[in-house]
Amino acid sequence: MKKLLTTLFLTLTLSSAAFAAPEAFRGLKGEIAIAGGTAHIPVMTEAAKRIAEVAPDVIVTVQGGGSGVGVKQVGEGVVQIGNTGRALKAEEVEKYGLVTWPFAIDGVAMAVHPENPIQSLTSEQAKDLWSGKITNWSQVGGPDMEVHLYGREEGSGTRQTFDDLVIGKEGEVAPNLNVVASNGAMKTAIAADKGALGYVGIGHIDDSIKGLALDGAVPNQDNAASGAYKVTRQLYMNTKGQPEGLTALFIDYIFSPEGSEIIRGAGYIPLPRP
Amino acid sequence: MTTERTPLLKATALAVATFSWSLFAFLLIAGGQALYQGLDLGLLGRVWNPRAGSFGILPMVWNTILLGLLSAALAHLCARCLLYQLRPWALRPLFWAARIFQLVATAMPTVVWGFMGLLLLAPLVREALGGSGLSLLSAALMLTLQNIPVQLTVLDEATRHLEVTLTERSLALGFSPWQVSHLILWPALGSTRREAFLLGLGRALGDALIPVMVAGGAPQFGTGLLDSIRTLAGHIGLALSSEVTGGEHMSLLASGMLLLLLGAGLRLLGGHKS
Repeated sequence: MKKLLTTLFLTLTLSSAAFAAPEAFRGLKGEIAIAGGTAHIPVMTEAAKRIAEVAPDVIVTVQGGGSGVGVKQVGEGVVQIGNTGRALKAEEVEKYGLVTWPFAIDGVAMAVHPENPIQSLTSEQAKDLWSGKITNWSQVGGPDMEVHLYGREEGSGTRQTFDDLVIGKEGEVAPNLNVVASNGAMKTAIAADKGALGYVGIGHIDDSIKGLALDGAVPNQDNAASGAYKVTRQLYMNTKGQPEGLTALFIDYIFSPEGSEIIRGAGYIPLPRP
Repeated sequence: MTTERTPLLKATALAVATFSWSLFAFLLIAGGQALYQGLDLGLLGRVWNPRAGSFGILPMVWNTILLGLLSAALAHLCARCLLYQLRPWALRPLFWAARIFQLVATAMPTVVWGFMGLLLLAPLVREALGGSGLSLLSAALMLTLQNIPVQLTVLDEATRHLEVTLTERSLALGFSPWQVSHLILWPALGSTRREAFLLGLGRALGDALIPVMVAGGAPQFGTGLLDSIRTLAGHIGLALSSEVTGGEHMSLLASGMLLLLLGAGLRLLGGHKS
């Protein structure tokens, strides 16, 4: 009887989460640790904040570290949710027994300092800039100013998307590329350097940096959703096996209507539950 | 010390030594294995370009030694100048300026040096000298500031011991403070100068935060002061989120082992001083 009641309680709790989140957390206690992709952070922290408002005893900790860290930490049981900005590789799924939850579409956009008058680049110009063949902004119609390249660290999902879809498999990357360790650090670097050229998730573009159109397609949510802007990727939450308890509730919350609202608010396009 | 406590002290010492040696052994074995297995991936090569299957860490080795020597040498010079101001003959304002710097700088966390380098020094270098500002020069200057109190404290302690016998007699014989400092005390410091330099060099070689934040992180051989560079410790910081297998992962283990060997080599060079 007790078992039946417990099952009934959990079933009701879990099913109600999809409709009434974050109310589903009310009265519960515990901790959910999240780490990994830095593009996910605005969504995760906003969700954590809303959960804390109704359930102060549910502690949601959100850390970055990049997609590689997300895979490692969830795989080794350090966190309950490991975020990645790329699909899991077969060997990662096999090694750790991970289950993946794509929840949003994000675009990756080239970005420059707001005072840089350049608005758009072609794919060829982008490749030549990143390979170091073009070293001055005047070569692409901009001011006489040295180009300073900024990229992301090894293991970054943002970097992998940009490498695959803009630079291409055969393309080269200039050896003097500066490397920063998060989307936030990239924004800080670009905002401080008038000659900067870097890339960030579309959701990170604001007044401090300027996103560049690629082949005429402006990097924004609508163009990413319609497919007009092609440098896009999915954002994933990953769990070790099927999620349970608070982790399952959190994932339900992200896929709830309120979760979709949070995702849109962060500049991404929500995906339906797989 | 009571004799009853001796077994506890011995056990603690043994546990610490066993734990440390286990870590060293792991690093040496795993690093050696990675170097051997990574030969096909060009782990000891001159090019770091994972996209092309090249995982050479020689640029990082070169940059580590270059940055370490540059910053430790600059810090040694500065420490010598400040040492003069910490003696009885110094003007009071200069004495207190040097003493307060020593106290504050000793307590300053490395991340704060890195943060100041990123926000204040890098833009200054960018505006004054060109480039992105994230460079060998910026990292060397911040590491120098971090390194000065390390070397100064060692030199100052040793000088205080010498002062008791040498300074008053030398001044009484008619030597000027400058002559006492540079012709008598400094030579009398003997091997302590080497100790201080090697201690500072060891700190500089192993520091990861300042290189990650200020040096730019480009995996190329640094040949100019304005070049963006990546050190071994910085490489570990930047590539830590890469996959748990493959060339990047092997490069981490090899980098750790090389740093350990560099540190041990320095210790041997410094000798043991009772």
